[in-house]
Amino acid sequence: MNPDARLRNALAPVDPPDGFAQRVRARVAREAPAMPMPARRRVPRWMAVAAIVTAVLASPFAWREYESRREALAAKAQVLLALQIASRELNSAHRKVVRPIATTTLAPVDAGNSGKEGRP
Amino acid sequence: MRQSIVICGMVAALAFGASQASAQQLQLPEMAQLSAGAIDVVDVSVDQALLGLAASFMSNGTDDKEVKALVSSLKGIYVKSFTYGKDGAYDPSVLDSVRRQLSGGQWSRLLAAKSSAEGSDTAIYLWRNGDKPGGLAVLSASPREVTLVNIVGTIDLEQLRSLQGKFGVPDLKMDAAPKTAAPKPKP
Repeated sequence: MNPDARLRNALAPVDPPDGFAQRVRARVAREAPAMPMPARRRVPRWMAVAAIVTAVLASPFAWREYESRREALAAKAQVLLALQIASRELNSAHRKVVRPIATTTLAPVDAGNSGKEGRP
Repeated sequence: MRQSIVICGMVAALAFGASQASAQQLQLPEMAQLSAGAIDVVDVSVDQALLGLAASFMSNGTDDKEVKALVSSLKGIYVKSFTYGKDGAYDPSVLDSVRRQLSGGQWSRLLAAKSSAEGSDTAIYLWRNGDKPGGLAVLSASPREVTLVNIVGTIDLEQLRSLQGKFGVPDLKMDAAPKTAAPKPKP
């Protein structure tokens, strides 16, 4: 037999034995692991509803917290600005006192003498 | 009978406390009286509640800790500052009402610096209850700037002075050069 004929015989289509397909399906069904359920179906519906309700109920509190934080930061900025200006003015006056220049008239007043005399 | 005496006592104590606090709080001029013609206006009004709120958001870092300690004994900070683009843009007599308040009661002038060359007039007043300081007022007026500061509560002046140049705000060195001279940019 020439090699071509031998090859044709070797690769010739062969019908499967009877019941082969049923046996394969049965074995697959027997050995295949149980398919996991989709993740979204594992979360109970009541839990999702509870989460939504909680979020809706908590949002005003979260908003209030955010607002109070914003107000506090604004107040802090105002305090810092006010203290900066006060500090600047104090330092300005202090510099004039400790470094008197010819054109500056200084009138440091002792503690006992109040400013009741009017304009400085 | 005893209840009514207690209630009357509490009311009297509250009224006394309120009057003590209000004595240190100045009636600053209306904004409109000084803001007309101003190119820069700062109006800060922080009462005790806001001070507490601000203090609650100050961290324990070095700078914040210092400010927190400073404001813990304060009951209010009120600042009005106006900068004008030209000389004589405001009526100096507007400040007389503040000066009148500072010339009476428990206010005493700590120092005053007046420069005829710059036309500036700065005065610092301290409110005292006996030996205990309970308030501070700064009245600074120059041809192009007016600043009124009223701090209610116990304040450490040295601590307050040391704050300048912190928090990212530069030391302005206001009196280092005449107001009219524009600052030259560094090369």
